[in-house]
Amino acid sequence: MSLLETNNLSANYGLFQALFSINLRVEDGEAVALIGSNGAGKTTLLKSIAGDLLSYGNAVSLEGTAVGKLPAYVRVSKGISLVPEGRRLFSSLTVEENLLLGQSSKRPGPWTLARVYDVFPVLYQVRRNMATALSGGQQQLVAIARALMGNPRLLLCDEISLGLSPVASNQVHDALKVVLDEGVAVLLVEQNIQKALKTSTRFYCMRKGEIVLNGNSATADLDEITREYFGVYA
Amino acid sequence: MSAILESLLNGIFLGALYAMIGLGLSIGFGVMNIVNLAHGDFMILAAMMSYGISAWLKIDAITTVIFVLPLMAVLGYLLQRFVMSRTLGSGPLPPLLVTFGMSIVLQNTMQELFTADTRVLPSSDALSGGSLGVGGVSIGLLPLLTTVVTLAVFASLELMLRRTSAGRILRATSDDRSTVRLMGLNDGRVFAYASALVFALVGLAAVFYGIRSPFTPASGPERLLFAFEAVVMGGLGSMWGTLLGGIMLGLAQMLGEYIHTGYGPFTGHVAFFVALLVLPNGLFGRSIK
Repeated sequence: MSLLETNNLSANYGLFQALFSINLRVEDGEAVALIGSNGAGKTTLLKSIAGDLLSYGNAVSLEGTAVGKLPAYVRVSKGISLVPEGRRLFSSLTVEENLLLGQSSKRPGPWTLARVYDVFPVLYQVRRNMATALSGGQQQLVAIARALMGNPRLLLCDEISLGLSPVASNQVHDALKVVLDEGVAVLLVEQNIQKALKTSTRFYCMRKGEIVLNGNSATADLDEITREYFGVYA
Repeated sequence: MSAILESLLNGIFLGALYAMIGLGLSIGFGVMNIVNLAHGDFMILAAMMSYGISAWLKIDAITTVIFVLPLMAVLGYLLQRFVMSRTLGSGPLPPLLVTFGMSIVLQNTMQELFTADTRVLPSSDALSGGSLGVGGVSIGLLPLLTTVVTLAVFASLELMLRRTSAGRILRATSDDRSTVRLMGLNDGRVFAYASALVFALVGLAAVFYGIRSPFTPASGPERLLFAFEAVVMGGLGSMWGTLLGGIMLGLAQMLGEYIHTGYGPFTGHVAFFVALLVLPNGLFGRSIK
């Protein structure tokens, strides 16, 4: 049984349908990349999985249990954590306070404040700074670490290298490798296709609210991805 | 000389009372983005509660806080959980309309139940009429106690917000409610607890205000107005701004009364008007979003 499965998952914003019958799965401990252009529905899909958008019961299931109707705060306690697009750190809280808020679900597991500081020593140095006063790359690390404090089994990452320098972007992806070594499954939304394929074992490519291509990241055909990404068939 | 000094001191004491009433408004707006138009009427309701309890148990009104505070907190929790929660999520208008409606319903229900009579909360003469003479200036015991309690409440709330996990959650919710959900917290319950806190503060302010000045079931809106002026002068959502705003308003009112009895509310409104012109965002802007 897969860790995460979506069954004909659809989503609407009013009359606008953003997702059409999405079927996707993530196995335990696996890294899966979700690629696609702006407006393809990647963020909507992650929000539906995290519970920021509600669907019907078995449209989203975690280890065979239907969670599609559960609000986000319940899904966190079941092991689904989202690193939201744009980081969304709490601006009146320090780094450490942001991290502590991440353990509000009280889900047990290996990630504690000490463990996070051990893995990301740079966060220990800035722990008393206001979170939104950090550099973009450091803020992204805080956002990832904050989600880890909930001890997720599945970490959803939305555009975690967007707007970062190449160096910071590499650091963020290195952090993801640590997370994966820990046995946490990752579903990664990424604009940089090559980077996405390098970090993941499988990928899905989305366009206009549908999955148009999927396969193994190692054997992916870049030309084919580019075609499906833009929907241009020469 | 001592007369004007007394006026200034009384202004500060009165301002502390306005700040205590305004604090609930400030938290409600800062954390939940709700402006409760029935804030003043709930304060009158709490004062009625205090009146009833003190008559029933034959105790000093000041002692009734031990009953009024928890009762109001429970009322605040239930009201947020089951009524106000339904008004959120579709813009600022629904909560305004619902609290406006509650204000009218409360005023009329209280008038029906308790008549339109003017009441004062009964308290011992030593407290309500007593005063200390310091160097020719007489300081009322009740206003002094009110001010000390107000300062203690502000300080302990500051500690709670900065040092405890509950305070951390309140600040985070004030920053970004939907991200709080992603941390595994039920934001509806966070709001309900915040509302319980607000209502407990309303209960506390009600007892002090009720001993100080007479009230009727229709006094709520006027008191809301003063509290509002304190909050806006201090800066929406800023806790310490509310304290300073309240003191500015109290000073302005007392200086007005020093010039001519009956000028008090007028000079208070003038000060508010001038403050709005000079500092439209209030003294401390929006430090809590």
